[in-house]
Amino acid sequence: MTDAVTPRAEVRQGIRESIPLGFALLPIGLAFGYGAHVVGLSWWIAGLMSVLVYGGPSQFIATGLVAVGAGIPSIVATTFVANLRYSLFTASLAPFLRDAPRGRLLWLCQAVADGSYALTLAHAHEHPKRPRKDRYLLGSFYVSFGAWISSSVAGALIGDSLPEPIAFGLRFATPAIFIAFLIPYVRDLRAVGVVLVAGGVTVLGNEYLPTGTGPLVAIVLAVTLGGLLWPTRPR
Amino acid sequence: MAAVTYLTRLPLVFLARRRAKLPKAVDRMLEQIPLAAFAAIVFPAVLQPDGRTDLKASNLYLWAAAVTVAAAVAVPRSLIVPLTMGVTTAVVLHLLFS
Repeated sequence: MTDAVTPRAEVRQGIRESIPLGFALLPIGLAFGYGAHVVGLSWWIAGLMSVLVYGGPSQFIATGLVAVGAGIPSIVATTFVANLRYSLFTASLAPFLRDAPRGRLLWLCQAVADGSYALTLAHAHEHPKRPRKDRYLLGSFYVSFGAWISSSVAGALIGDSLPEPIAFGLRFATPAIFIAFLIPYVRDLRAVGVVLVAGGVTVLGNEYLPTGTGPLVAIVLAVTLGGLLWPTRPR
Repeated sequence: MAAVTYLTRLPLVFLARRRAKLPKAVDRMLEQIPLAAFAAIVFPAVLQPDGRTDLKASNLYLWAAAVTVAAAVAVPRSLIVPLTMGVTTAVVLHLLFS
């Protein structure tokens, strides 16, 4: 199998395969923009936050902190902790991007959000021989970034005015698409264990740990247990 | 917020430049990251839809999640099918039971 594609075709594939993700992001962006508007942030602040931070959960947490009048230092610190999982994402993606130009990686790391990470990693596993996975990531970034920014601004301007059954259904778009991302990785008992530990500890952490730290603690714990402690048979 | 978030993403740049092979244990830990990360997104979104843990059958997202898992298993490599099935199920259940 030659598996050779032109650079532009590679970017286009990233765009095409990210369209479902783009749709899934719209209701969350709307909800974020609307939430930002409710706590008194103007539409351009919401939009700017989406451009510069580009990290969904941390932006929701930040608006929550603004609402309770938290200071800048605590918002920044919480953001850092909530987004530390991007270090895990980028670390797990980096081995597939060895042939990408460094200058591009310096700004393309901004593209690593949950959805594009999931898509690019799946793409890398599916086409191990293809060079320059950064082009696929770039294509995915276009769609995801565009959907996120436009919907955050729209949410701040026009609000979240969907009828409740539709809004209720659309709020399920995020878990639905991440279930679709998750299932192909669940191939053995170890994977089931990692999923249960990560999911269970996140749920418990959201109840009992400081805001934003639950998922990080859960992911680190599950990755450590699954990677180091789970008995492995020699392959 | 932007600066500290950018910092968290920088491993992409410097780890991509490492030519050396990573130790096996580190490799195995990296392999678990997508599993753990996606589970950490899905579980709270389904089990804590309003911020509080809700494991009762009246939590409609539990049923929508079951349908989505079935769809994802039935149609591997598809995003659209589980996504539409899940969202549609949630809308329909809300119309029927809320």
